[in-house]
Amino acid sequence: MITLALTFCAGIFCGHYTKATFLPAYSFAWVFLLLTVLSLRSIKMFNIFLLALIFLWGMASLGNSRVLPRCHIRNYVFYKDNRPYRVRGFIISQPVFKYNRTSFVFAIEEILCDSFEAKSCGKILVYIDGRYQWRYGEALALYGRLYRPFSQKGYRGYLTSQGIYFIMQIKTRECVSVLNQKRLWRLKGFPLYLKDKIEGIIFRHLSSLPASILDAMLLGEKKYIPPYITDAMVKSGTVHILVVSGFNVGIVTYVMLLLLKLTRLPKIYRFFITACSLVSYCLITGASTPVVRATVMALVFVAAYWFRREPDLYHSCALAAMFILVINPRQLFDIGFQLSFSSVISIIYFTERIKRMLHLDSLSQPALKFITNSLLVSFSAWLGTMLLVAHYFKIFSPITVLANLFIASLATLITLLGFALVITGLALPPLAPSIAATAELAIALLLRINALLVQLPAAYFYLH
Amino acid sequence: MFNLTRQERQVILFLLSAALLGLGINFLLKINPGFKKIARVEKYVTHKDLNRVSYQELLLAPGLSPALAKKIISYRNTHGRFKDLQQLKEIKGIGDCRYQKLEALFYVE
Repeated sequence: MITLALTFCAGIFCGHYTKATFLPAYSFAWVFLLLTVLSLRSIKMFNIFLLALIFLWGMASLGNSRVLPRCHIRNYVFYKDNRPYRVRGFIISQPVFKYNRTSFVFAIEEILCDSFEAKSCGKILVYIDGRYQWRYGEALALYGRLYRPFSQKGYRGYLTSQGIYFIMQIKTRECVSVLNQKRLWRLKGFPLYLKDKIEGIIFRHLSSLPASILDAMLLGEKKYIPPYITDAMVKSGTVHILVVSGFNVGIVTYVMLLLLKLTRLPKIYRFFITACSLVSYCLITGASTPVVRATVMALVFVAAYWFRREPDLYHSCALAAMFILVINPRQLFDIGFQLSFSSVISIIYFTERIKRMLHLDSLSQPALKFITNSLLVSFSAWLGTMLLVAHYFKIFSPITVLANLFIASLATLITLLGFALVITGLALPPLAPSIAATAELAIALLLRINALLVQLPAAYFYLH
Repeated sequence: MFNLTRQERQVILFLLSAALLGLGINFLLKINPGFKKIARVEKYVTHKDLNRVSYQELLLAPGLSPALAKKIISYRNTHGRFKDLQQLKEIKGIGDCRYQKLEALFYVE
């Protein structure tokens, strides 16, 4: 699996730098598929042709992801096109209210301009002044100018990787007509409904700043975090705690298995329900790369447990990478993808090796063992991501290892408290305010420690 | 009394200790207002002092272009320290709408 995933990545990489188009790669892939079939009897030749086939598959996937349908909105709206457009479609994200405006992603079905009207497709980002209670799946007709995102701070590249090529800015409510139709995709609609509920619990019991931090840690929603908090965490190398990670997925698995154990259901049902709740959690958190990776890895572990096989961390990691890249090959160039996989792989690779090298397994005191383990995990993650962080954020933070010792431990506690708050908020509401108070104190402590560490001399250096 | 597994006991203990600690915090917040300083996040953690903020830090603020960030710095250099956040409105390009955004990010000591 590891070789296949690496070959697939190499294909995408090669396709990106050679600007290879879809058709040649796709044709060659068929040739190699034929050669692979013909070489079934020779293992060596079969393996060589199979790897070439996977390589070309990666190239062709990337080529295909670059091709837009003919009816795509990008083919109708031109550069510096100042005409107002009328578009029909429906909301495909949860609307967010921030800085006195509501924003959401809108899937287009029809586009109208002057006397021209056509069926269209594609996604746009919509900003409307004011607060509106529209929901996922609501069909709307919008009227406004479409413009390309500014390229400042790589924002355009980020939106393009999400399939968004245009932004529509709407000033007044009169430019929006509600079409009284719903296009709900239930698989996404239900998790978004749950997300709404959970956010309601978090924001009801905590004040706005701790709620925004907990919202990011539990649901991956970072839009409400003040920019200077994110900046301070980038400086201390602890920004990863604001991302839903494998740890959260682990907690969901643990809680689900524990709750289902009480029901005394047969094992097969328990595993099936756990797998379903993992997928739901993945959708609730917006199916970002780290969550998809962690979900696939957790599913592999649950399956391995069920089939009584020994799960392999590297193979499950490779499978998760393949799963993400087959759906969207452009994710290979996404910072989130690179940081998520490099940190996990380096934690798996370095932690045990360093432990053996320094003979740390012989430590008998549990507290000392816990501290050295935490230090080693954060050091390994730092080793794996150091170069990427330096490249993308132009920052080098020697404080990271020390900061993670305190902050990652506190973040673990806060995540546990967050899940406890959500569960009690749903099942035992009178208990929720007490747990919220503890969570708020822990978040305040975390932010204070982070602010303190960043102020230390030589805590971080800018590389430009 | 209860036939609980080790895992279940751990979960119950965690929930109870979190709830008890929270109860204590609520009590302390009521009787001692000074405790708020510890339990709540202070402004310097989330906001930046407008008289100390650097050009690079200004650029992180949403809605502030490099040109506008330069104007803020040059205003500070020519007029001296900001005495009030409202002074931001004197800078060309900062209207009520943008001021509302900046108000949520900066403070003046």
